[in-house]
Amino acid sequence: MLGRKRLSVLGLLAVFALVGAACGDDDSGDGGGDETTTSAADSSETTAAEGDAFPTIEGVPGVSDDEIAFSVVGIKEGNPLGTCILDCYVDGIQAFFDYQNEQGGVFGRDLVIGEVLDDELANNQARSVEIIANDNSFGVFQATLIASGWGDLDDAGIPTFVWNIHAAESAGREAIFGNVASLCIDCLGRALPYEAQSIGATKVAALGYGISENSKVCAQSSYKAFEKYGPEIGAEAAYLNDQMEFGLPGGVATEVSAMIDAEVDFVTSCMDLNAMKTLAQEFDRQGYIDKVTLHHPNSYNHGFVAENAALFEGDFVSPGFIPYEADGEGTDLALVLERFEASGIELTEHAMVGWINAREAFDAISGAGEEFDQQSAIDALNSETSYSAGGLIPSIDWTTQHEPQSADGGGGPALECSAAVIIVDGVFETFASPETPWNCWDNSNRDWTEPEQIATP
Amino acid sequence: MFAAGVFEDIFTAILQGTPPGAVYALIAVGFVLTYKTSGVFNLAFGAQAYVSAAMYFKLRVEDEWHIVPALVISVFVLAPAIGLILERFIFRHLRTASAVSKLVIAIGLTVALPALFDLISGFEAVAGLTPVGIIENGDSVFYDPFGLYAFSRDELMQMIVALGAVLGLGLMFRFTSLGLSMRAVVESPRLTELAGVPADRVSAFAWALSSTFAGMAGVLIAPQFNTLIAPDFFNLVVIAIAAAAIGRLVSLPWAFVGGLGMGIFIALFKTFLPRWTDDYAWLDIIEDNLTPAMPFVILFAVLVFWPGIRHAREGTDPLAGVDPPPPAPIASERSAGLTMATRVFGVVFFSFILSLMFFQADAFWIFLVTQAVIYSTIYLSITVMTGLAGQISLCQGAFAAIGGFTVFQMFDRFEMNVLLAAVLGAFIAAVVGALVSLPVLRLGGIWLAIATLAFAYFFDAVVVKFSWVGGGNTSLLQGTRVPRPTLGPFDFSNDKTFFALAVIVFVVVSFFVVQLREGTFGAQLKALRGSETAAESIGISPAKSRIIAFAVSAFIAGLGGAMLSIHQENVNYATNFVPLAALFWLLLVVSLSSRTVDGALQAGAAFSLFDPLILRGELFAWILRSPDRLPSFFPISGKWRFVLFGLTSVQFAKHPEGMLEYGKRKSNARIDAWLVRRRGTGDDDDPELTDSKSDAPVEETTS
Amino acid sequence: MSALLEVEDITKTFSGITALDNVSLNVDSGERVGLIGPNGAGKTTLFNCVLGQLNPDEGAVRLGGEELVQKSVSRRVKAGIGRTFQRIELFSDTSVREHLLIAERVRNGTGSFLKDLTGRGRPRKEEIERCDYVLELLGLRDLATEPIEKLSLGKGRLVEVGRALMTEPSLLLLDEPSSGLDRDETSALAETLRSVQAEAGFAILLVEHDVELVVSFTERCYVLDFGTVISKGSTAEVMADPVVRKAYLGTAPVEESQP
Repeated sequence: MLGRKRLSVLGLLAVFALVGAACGDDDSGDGGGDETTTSAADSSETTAAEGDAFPTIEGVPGVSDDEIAFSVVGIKEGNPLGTCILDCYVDGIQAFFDYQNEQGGVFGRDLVIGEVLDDELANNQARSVEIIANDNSFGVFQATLIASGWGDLDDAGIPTFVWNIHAAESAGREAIFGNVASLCIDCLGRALPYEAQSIGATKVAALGYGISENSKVCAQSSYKAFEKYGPEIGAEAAYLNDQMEFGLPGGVATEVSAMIDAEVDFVTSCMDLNAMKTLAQEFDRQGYIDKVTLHHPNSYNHGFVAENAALFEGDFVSPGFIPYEADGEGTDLALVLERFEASGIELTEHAMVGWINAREAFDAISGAGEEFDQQSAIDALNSETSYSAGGLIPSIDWTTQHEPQSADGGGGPALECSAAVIIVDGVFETFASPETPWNCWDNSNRDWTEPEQIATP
Repeated sequence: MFAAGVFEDIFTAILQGTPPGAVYALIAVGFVLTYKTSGVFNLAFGAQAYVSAAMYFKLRVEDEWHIVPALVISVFVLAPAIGLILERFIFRHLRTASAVSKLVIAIGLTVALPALFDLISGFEAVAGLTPVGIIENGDSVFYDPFGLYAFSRDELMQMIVALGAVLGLGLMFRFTSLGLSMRAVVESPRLTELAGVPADRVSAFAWALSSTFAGMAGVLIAPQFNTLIAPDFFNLVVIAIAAAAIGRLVSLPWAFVGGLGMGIFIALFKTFLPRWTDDYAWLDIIEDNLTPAMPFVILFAVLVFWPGIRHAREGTDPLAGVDPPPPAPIASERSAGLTMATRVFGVVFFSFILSLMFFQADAFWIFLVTQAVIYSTIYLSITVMTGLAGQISLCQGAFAAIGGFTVFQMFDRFEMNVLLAAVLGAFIAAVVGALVSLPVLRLGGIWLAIATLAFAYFFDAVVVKFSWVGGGNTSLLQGTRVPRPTLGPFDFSNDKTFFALAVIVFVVVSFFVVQLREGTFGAQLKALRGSETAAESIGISPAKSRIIAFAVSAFIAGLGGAMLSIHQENVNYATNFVPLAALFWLLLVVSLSSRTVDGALQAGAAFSLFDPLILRGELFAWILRSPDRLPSFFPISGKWRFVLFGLTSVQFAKHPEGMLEYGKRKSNARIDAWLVRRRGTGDDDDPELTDSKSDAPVEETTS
Repeated sequence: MSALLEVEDITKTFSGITALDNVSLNVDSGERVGLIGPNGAGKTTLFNCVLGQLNPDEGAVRLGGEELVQKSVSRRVKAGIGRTFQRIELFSDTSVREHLLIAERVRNGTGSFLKDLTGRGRPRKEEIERCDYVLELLGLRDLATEPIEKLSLGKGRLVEVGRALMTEPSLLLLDEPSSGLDRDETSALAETLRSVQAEAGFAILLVEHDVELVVSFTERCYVLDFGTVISKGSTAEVMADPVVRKAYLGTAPVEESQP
């Protein structure tokens, strides 16, 4: 029941989740890659030939003989970041649905978006409960900053496909499928040290917000990664600040001075995109911007980096999916680009996440067979051990990766993958080669190694 | 660590603290300016600043106007116009109102103004479109006077304006008759009127001036932020209050020095503390916990320890005593027949709602109505604090969060029954409430309100982070999940059973609140509210009464917070309990009725049901008998809620009993009058209820 | 015999301005003592120091031998001091009887927080009776249920007196009770006070502008000017003191209080 004003500030807290999740998803890859990536169009068993009829399904919410209806809940009004979330997300879902419906839908039915609800930052739980009560959606898509309703949807057994920046809210929830899997908080990634090594960095700083557990732990584990792998790459963990004030209201002058004193040349941050700009501006003011490279957790925003090309030149950004800039051979990327262009959809983070989530929904239903219902769709997707949504994301083992991963308990995912991009003249370029945009490391041996460059992990 | 360069480091830190310090100074000076010229503790300063900043942004960045016309429209036209409107329609009528009621109105405007501006202008923050200053290349051209730290053009502009304002305004207050008149109008509007000063015109000018300054400050500060959102401005104002408080809200130079000093102090703190912690490990605790909360710690410390504040009782107009006191709650005045009729109607109405809940409602409505009942329970804490004790607390969210977190921790660690944990949480909240009240007891009024706001922010920035509160790694992995309890044969995971529990808790708490109100404690609080000096003179201890009021209020808030967490099966701190949330709660309750249980109930309903019923048109659709006939302007933007309740709270000064009570009073008077006419009895019984102003003042003080 | 109230050499300064300078004053049991002086002489400050709303910088205040400085206001009220206010201070939203009831219940400590909670916090019959007795004494019995907002100023002053009486004071501090009242009201008030005092036996310390009232009402009297006692003694003596006539009566003639 709250809207923009009162929540914005603390709603901002949710942004931390985003920041933290972005940090964590370097580790969300899974092994395998043995299952060849299938384009959605290949799932021909789901589309009936002329004249064939699929059985009528009774008593499944949102399912009629011609349609399968989904609801979308997302944040629009009151988004303190000012980024395009709900609208862009819906664009991506619709683009996939349109495409799939042209291919004959699924089991003779069109995939349609029923209601689109703006949770206005604070009403996620109320909107989710409303969808449950209305009982006319087969599944739900969610792209929100405060995910208070996910537990209710999971309890109600509704397949829910989400922009998963909320590891805590999705943890252990078998009906919640993210565009990335649950994070591994104590896995020390090699992706960041590898970035640092590539620019010849020698002193590294890690920054996080004190007020967000996500962001704070993200900064700490980044720092520890450099403590562990630093000697191998000739870089030293030199500065850790996990107590930054959110939004940097008092500026970052003293922190930047301290980093300059420590001769830092690579900064890995767990802060939002606006704070990254403030940080870069302060480096600029203190005459150091050319000597330092930043790693942004979630500045994969084309307009934003174009605006600030000079400040961010040479910086790294890691989207959680295959970047639009990759070749995407053997993946659906070309299809995504084609469909987005045809519909005039901007290449945003959330459009891609929408597409990925929609693809997950489709795969869940088609996996469940023609007499599908909500539970069988959930079970079908949960039986996938190497799921990559058409090669757009590192493979997820849905049999284990609903649970938070831990480096100690069981070892975490088998493969650590990152598809970072570099900002050059205000546009993104893949860090690895465009053909093989993913840098991956085998987690069975956590010693320092050069990454394997992979097209579809 | 104390190398030769230490002095250079100190100097650098001072320079680095100067730009944020100048921002604080700018706001503090503006804040003092408003207080001096209008007597209003203007928390809405940030909202006014935001409106001009957003207007300038819209013209300059979105519509690509030239600097000068954009500045003229946003700062020299829009800002004074807002000031004049506020003065003409709100504050002109409140010159003699208490400082506390003006504070409530300022909070209302804080919420309403930005939402109104956004709605009218269609303004939305867009990532990547950054505010720009009032000078070309303000953020990219730097000047480095000492070769240590460079200032941008925007920052130099802020410093120049802040300094210029202190000098210019100082001269105006000292040497112009207008300046003197403005001060006089604040000190005693009645006396100035008697002395022939045109108080209306003077105060209109004062508002136009201070509002223009707010607009100027907003436009100057905007480049600090990468996206323009109103709460950022509000947060800066909260921080700047510490600086303004150093000058006891009346000294412009001290506000300037305080603001600058605070920026510099924080910069020094952040520069040197990390170095010292290398040598003194115990400092780690301070560094880890206080760094992000420094401004609020300073604010709290200033309020508690600064000698000026200690004695700064709110200035009272010597003639204020002629204002009539607020009317009594209506129930005590209406006729017996009407009381009975009202009760019967109430019982019927609530039985109807309850039966609807149990037999008709779907999960969605049960969820919302349960939430409404639980919020009503939380709001009873405001009934105690504001309605009974007459104090404004802005940290009720923190108290409620304590209840929620206790339930989470007790379950997570000990698997304690969550209902037991809820009661435990309420007791912990009560203890914290009492402790919080201790250092601020003697402040009273607005200072108490601000101290509670500082505590709310402190709780938010520091306490929630502790793993024994917010959950640390557990919450990182699992969130702050809370289960529904079972108790004997009752399984509260059933929504209807839980709804029944929520109703029972509300009824029990209401019963106790009514008992307290009607008993000795309520009488003592009433006495204190009426006249603290007189209450003291018959042996009532204001300190003790206030500690109890805080503890009781915190207890209720804690219990309600725990219930809310159990209901949502998660503490959901960021959604439920953040400082700004508590601000909105207060507005809701005082604009409906802070004195009665009904008021709390209706505020809870408004909070939970306003969105689906009104904004999303469910009620309208029901009246039209079909959702399809709903006009296309539904759903209405949620921002209207803030406009509506923000502006309703403006009535607080005139009708501190709340709009609900006021409405009841009026309609009761009409009905009673009608009954009397029907019975044909004389007019003698006719209660004079229609207008509180018509009750003759008790006295004409002449001294 | 030691006096009931002993004020000994108290000094109070406000940011450099000395409001009271070594003031000493005594009031015996059952006595009526006046305290006069021009505006700003420090009379109300003295009252505040006696009741504890202010603490003197130096000096002692004793009631019946008990040292009061640094003690809380409520402690001093328990010790036996009651007061009224120059600018009338009543509780809004409250009836006349409720005013007295609140004071009565604070005095006898009934209605603890727990009793309130369990619904046993409502006034007891004997408490109401005691209030009505005092109302009777003050001639307010008919107005018992009137809301305070509807009273005249004169009645309001009586309610203040009644409220103070409920604390069973041995010393009543009256701060300008005649201010805002006309001549008839003033003499009626004085009459009532005298009869109540005869009944209850407390002492009165009266701060007053109305010299006529002081002359007719008090036995002894002190004169304050610029924070110091410039004259004291029986009221008749003081009134004849040329110093007093010059410093005080000269600037504020007796006639002023007449309509």
